[in-house]
This record gives sequence, structure tokens and C-alpha cells, in this order.
Amino acid sequence: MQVIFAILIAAVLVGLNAFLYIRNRQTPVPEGCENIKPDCAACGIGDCALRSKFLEMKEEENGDH
Amino acid sequence: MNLFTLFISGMLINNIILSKFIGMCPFMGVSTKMESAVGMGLAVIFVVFCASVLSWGLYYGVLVPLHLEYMKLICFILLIAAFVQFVELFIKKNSPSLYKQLGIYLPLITTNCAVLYVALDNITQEYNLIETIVNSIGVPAGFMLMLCIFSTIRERLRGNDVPKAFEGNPIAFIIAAIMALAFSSLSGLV
Amino acid sequence: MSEKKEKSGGLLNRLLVENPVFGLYLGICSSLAITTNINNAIGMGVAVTVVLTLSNILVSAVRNATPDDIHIPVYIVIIATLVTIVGMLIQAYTPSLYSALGAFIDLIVVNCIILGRAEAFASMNPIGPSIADGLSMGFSYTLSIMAMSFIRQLLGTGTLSLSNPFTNAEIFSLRLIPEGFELPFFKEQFGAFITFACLAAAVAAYKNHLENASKKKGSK
Repeated sequence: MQVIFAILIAAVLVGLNAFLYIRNRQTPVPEGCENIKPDCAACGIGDCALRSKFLEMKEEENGDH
Repeated sequence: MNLFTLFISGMLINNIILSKFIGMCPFMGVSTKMESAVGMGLAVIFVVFCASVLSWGLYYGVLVPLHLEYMKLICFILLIAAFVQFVELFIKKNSPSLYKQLGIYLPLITTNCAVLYVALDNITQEYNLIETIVNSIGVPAGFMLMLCIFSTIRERLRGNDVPKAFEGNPIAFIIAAIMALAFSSLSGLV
Repeated sequence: MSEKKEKSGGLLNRLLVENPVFGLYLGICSSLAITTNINNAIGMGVAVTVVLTLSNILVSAVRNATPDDIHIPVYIVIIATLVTIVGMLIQAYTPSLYSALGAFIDLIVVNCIILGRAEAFASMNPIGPSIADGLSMGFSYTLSIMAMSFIRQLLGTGTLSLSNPFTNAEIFSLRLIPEGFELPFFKEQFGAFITFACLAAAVAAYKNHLENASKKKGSK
């Protein structure tokens, strides 16, 4: 019985996460904010919304050298 | 425990960065400019406060009555991730200026040790709701304070003659060492 | 033969240049906090290696079945479940290690190494390479924090000691620095930061040396 509750709670939270995640991906970044350069060299998280921009920035810097 | 003592202890005496080494990743990464430090600090205060109170509520409202305390870690981390997504969604839709200031640091906070640590610590120390609220504001306030101090020192360091091997992060750790030495003089105060 | 060479070159590369702790600065919260003695370092290293390898296996197994949009919460659930299980095992079988590591066992969930490797490698590669990647990353993490705790324990208490975490029996304990000549600040926060800075600078110096050597070769 407890196991069912546990799985249910986990599933609800994962569902909530998935829903909010997809909605977040779908809403566009407000205008004027597209080219904020992130100043973070901090994490290995590949999913940071700005990591692609950060990697572009890094590539530009490497290309200049 | 006296609430004021709790606040000062969380903010200065048992500072989460210098005394407990938690939240180091963004501390090293986002502390090179004062503006980004302030933005990151405010975002962390907001997220830690709300996420900790919500986690406390989830634990004592749902997990304890159902005797599912072992699910604490899974539920907390999922709740924190969901909350951060929600905040980012809310800010994107309602306030572009706020998004410019804080929004870019929100994804960085999801896997920040600090949020999960405060949420878990409130449960381990068995605080009631008021103590949770005070702790959850004091600890990230300390984080923001250290981040701002650190960023001012690092700004001054730019253009100075740092040895090649120490450039970037290693010299930042030396700065953190000296700051830790300074703030460790407060330990034992409470 | 050449494959073997590549692998060992890869391991040395992984250990020194792409060192997750001192090179890429991932997982530094735990490496600063628990490296006061070698026992804790080995215990934490083994725990992280186990979680990393198992999560790589599981993530690699479900990588084709999870829709791309929700892969992050799914990976988080996998890692959190593994950490809960490993935490319970540590609490049951090695209670001294559990009380020494404290909250940092639960914080393995947000250790940047694990989610980072899950996303960067395991979600795109089959199970075999994912196991190898998990083991090698975990191994280099363990060696890094062992190096740091070796220095901190040696200089901080003057002794090197190891004890069996399952039975609390001492395996060995030797005093290398005479009593009264050790530097106790290495046990504290100041020493942790200083040791980390010096080791990170050493790795950066090695990286610079490699770059200069390859630049010289290139210009010639």
C-alpha cells in the first residue's frame, strides 16, 4: 500500500516537472533578452538554457586567439 | 532556539560557503562581476526561501502522515526543480526586466547544493515553521553577502600580476581561504 | 595494441587534464568538506563511483525510451533513487562513515559530475561505454579527493591512518610528523581552500605545460 503511494507521489512530481518544463520551453524569451551573455563558468549541466550561448562565446574566444 | 540567534548563525557564523562549503559551484562561477553577484544572490534568496518552505510543508503534510520519510530526497529535489521551472515561466511571462536581472541564473540554481541542503537541514534539525522561515532567509542571505564581498575582491584582482598557474579559479580559492580565516573568528559565538 | 594505448592515454588524460575536481571544477562542495581524513575520502569516492556507474547504466538503458522534453526530471529521479538506496546502505553497514559524511551523502544527488555525465555521455551512448565512463570518472574523482585528504591529514594531524569502516578496526596508523610540529589549520576551512587551490594550480600548470609543448611542436 505504501509503495503505491510512493510511486504515485513520485509520478505526480515527475508529471508536474515535465509539464512545467515543456511549458517553459514553449514560452519564448522576452524581447531584449535574447543576447544576454551568461557569466557563468560554473557547471557541467548541459541543459542550462544558456549553455549553448556560453559555448558559442567560448568558441568565439578560442577562435580569436 | 532564539530566532535572532538562528538568523545570525545561519548568515554569518555557520556561513554556508565559508564554513560548510556548500554552494561552491556558482560561487566560483558567478562571482567575477558585482552585478551578476547581486542578481545571483537575490535569485538564490528567493528560491531557497520558497523551496524550503514548500519542502517543509510537503514533508510534514504528506510524507510523514503516510510514513514515507525515505522519499524525502526524491520529493525535495523534484519539488525544487519544478519550482524553479515555475518561477522562470512566471518571470518570462510577466516581467522581462526581472528576467534580465535574475532569470538567467535560475537554471543554475536547480542543481545548486545550497537549496537542497537548506531544505534537508530544516528537516534534520526539526525546526517548526517559523524557525524554517528564519533559517531559510538567513542562510541564503549569508550566501549573497559572501558572493558580493567575493566579487568585489575579484574585480580588484583583474589586471594584477597573478602567477600563470593560479589564474582564474585557484587564486579565487586562495581568496576564499583568507575570507574563511576571517569569518572563522566568529565561530563559537553562539 | 593501439586500442590499449589509447585507453591508457585516455585514463591519464582523464586523471590529470580533464580531472573532474581540479580541472573541470565539478563536485567541489564535497571535495572540500569531507577530505579531513583518508577514510572519509575513500568512502565518499566509492559512494560516488557506485552511484555514477549505476546511474550511467540506467540512463543509458532508458535513453531511447524517454522523450527528449522530460529527460531531466527522469534522470533526476533515477539519480535520487540510487542515492537514497546507497545512503541507506551506508547507514546500515558503515555507521561511522555515515556520521562522518553527514549531509554530503544526500548531496551526491546534486553533485555536478553525476548529472553532467548522465547528460553528456550516458544519454547518447550504449551501456558498455557508459559503464567505462562512469568507472573512470569515479576513479579519477576518488583519486583526487584521496590526494587532497592525504595532504590535509598528513599536515593537519601528522599521522596517516586508515580504518575499516565496517568494523571500525584500525588497519594502520603511522605518525610521520612529530607531535607538536603539525599544522592544525589544515583540518579547518582555511586549509581546505589552500590545499584545493594549490592542487588546482598544479593541474593548471601541467595543462599550460602541455599547451606550450604542443605549440612548440606546431610552430616547428
